[in-house]
Amino acid sequence: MPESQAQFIRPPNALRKAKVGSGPAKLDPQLLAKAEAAVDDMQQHYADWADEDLTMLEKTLRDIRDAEDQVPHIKTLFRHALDMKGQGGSFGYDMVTQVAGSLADFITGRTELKGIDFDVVAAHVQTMRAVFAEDVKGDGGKTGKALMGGLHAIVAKAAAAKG
Amino acid sequence: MLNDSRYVLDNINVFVVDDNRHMRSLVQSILHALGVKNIGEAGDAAEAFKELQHFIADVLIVDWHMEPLDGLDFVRLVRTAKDSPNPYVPIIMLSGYTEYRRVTEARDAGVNEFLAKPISARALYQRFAAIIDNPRPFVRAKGYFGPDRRRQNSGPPRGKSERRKDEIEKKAASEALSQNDVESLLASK
Repeated sequence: MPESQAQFIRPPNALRKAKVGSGPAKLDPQLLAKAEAAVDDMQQHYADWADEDLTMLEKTLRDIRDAEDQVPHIKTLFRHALDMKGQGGSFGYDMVTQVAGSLADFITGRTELKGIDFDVVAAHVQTMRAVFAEDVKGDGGKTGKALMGGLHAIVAKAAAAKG
Repeated sequence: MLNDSRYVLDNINVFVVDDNRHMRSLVQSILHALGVKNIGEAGDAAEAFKELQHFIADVLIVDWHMEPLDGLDFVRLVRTAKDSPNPYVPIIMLSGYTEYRRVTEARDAGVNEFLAKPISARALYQRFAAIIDNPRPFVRAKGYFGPDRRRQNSGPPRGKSERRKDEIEKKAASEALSQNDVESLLASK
């Protein structure tokens, strides 16, 4: 069936019950504040979550060096990097999102790590450790700039080594 | 005239599919605070599909990056499987990747809304508002079944929307899109 002959179906609107009144509604500021407070309350747990991810990244980085097949380990690294990328910013740790995103990008498409690649992964993990040790929120200002500068330098070095 | 319209999420059932328990916990906390009382959850797509035979979900929140079935596989299952409990259920896709290709892929799988991780309470609330305010007709065409990919009732005028889409397409394929860009992209076919 060509798209021009598409069949249009109007399903029953189950979410009619989710709105009172007609016309455009606004987000309820009180509910929104409550929801934002709920996220703030979870911040105390977030450091533990991140620590679990970082510990797994460190362990995987040790295990992968002796592995015959690196692929499962690379998948583990990617998985934890992606989780950290997806959570940091929700709790004000924008740099964690940035650094973990850079790590996930670095790993994407790789089936093997060698030489300086290990240093690049380690540098990302160390940078995130430093972010938590210094409790660097947002973009981190001068501290953030210095941390990201060091990270970019080693990523650039790895890219140059790869040619 | 006084406009007293408001969203009431107390009576809607939401099902969350994410393989990261912390992420599920974060989403649930926000939903609870917004008034949602009935929340189901699953740690993988296959389990979720099974659970949905019993849990009558009004909205699904689905992570993209899962294994062995990923979020896109799950959305296609919900939209097109013969034993799907509700092919029309609104779906919000969560993803840490918001490049042009990813957003269009999610749209073409049949998601209603796309929310970039890391999420905020406001952004999630806004996605619910968008789904509630813009119930979209469904389209059955060759190679596609899902919400109409051309939004009818919202967004900028068509011409402006198309120009915006052109601008977004010009961005590097690898460049992450902002939530505003994502919305513009979802608003035009």
